[in-house]
Amino acid sequence: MILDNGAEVIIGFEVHVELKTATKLFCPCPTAFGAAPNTSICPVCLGHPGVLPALNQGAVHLAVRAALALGCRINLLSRFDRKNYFYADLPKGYQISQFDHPLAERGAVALPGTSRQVRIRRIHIEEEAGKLNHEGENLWTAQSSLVDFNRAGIPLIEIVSEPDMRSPEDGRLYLHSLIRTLAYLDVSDLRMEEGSLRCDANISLKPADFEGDLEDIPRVELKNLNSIRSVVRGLEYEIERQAALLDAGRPVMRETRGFDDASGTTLSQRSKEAANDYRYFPEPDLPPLMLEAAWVDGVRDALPMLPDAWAARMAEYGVRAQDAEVLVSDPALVRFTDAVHAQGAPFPEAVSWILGDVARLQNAHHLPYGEGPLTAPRLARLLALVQDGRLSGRMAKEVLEAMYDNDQDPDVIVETRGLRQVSDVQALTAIVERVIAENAKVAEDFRTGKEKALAYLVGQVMKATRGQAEPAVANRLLRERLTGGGSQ
Amino acid sequence: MRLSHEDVEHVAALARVRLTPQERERMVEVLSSVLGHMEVLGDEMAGERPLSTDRINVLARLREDRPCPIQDSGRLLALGPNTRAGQFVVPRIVQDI
Repeated sequence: MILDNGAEVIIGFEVHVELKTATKLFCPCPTAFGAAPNTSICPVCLGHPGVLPALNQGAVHLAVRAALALGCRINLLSRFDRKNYFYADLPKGYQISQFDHPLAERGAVALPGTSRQVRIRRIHIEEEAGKLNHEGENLWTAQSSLVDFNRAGIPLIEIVSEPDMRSPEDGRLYLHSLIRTLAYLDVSDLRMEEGSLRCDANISLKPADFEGDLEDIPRVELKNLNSIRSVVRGLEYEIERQAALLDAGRPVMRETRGFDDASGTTLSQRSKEAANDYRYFPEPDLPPLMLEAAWVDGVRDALPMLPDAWAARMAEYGVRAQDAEVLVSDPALVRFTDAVHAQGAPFPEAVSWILGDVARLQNAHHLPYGEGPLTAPRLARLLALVQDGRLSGRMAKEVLEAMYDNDQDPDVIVETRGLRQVSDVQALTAIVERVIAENAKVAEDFRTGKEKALAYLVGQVMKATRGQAEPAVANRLLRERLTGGGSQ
Repeated sequence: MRLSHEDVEHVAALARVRLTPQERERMVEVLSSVLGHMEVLGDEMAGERPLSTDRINVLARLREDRPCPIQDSGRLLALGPNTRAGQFVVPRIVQDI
């Protein structure tokens, strides 16, 4: 994105993802969301003197799983460091993080619908801070704040991108793609509004005449971005603000700014620390983290199929690109579709039903895909009945709805309700002739060129067979009788 | 390596430590001496040493992801200087940063 003044927008993200472990990163306190304040705390996560951290094996596993799925190289040797700063939500006065020996490096996230990708610089493990509840409207007006340390010590991974994004839209695509991939791994709840996924955006404007290292351009770190929409709005505002400063010949300060959702603006929070100011040093209470290559290979082998691979598979089977995009946005949806296909249903037909009536009914019953009365084998069987010509589309919809109401197999419902599509020509011919005889005027209208009259006659055949006639056969027989000078 | 007065003031500000002029003078000497010693160590090590080569089943030695019952969180909360509604009360944040 090049602005009117020739400046280029440069954006990079730091995304914090809370890992879905049962316990915190360095202590066995439970991580359940929504507990009463300060009921999941212990001397370790409160930073009492003399306690020692004990690294959670499950957190390492989930972090490695995420890093591999994002194409990173895993460092078999990584190390924990203390990041020192003062803030009311940080009980120890330092955060245990990883500085110069992170868990993983050099991955990438593809931007959907483009041929570009955003490089991932590094992924490291660190602990979450506590939660501040400001006693006032917000941080700026509060006279005091309350601290809940239930969240302190929950494991996080921080995914640091290279500054490869050039517009707020790139940012939206990156987050969409990143969240979608992580959803397949089941490593996190990924709820931005609840804070289990947080995004800080670094944004700067590179003047048209700038030559040199991007790192030398003062950048602003945007925080308090609680949804993808907030990220886009925050970036859009910040581009305008920084462009106005540049146009006025004023400097952009390196600082942290908070996005205010209500006003759509950003407000200065603090001047940005440089890495030196955090006075990182190796965490003396934890040994280096050393991983076996064979163990990492095992985690890689156990990765599920990821969205891009799913989309390619869908394309191979003739699913339209826009349908494939909807399917792969939800891992449960794509897995259900694949399970229906595995039971013998052709992909395009399965997709058409799943994105239509099945989606409507699953949503109406508040059911995730694959749960509830509609199992993959039942849907596959229903589609087979349609393919065999035993059920019309309308009948199949009736059977589908009945499956939700009665929790029965489609064959049982078909049998109980006496549903069977009549496609036998002999049986239908008599009915067709009767309908033509009873509707002589309409038949004449069709003969004189009113094509719509045929639809009325097909409807009468359907009515006479209580919906069991196969519409295509009824249509063909009517047309033959009316135009071929048949047996009237 | 010799630290300047400004270096010491900067580090003291980051650590939220207020120094008298006498203390500042002393810290310039003490910290410069410590850093000087580190330089000697660095020279003796002659380059970066690998962290370790011992990789024997380290992952198995990590803590299992199994929760333990919380021991009397109320007692831990009571250790705070000021609490309200089950939470620790801290003063206004913005002015302090």
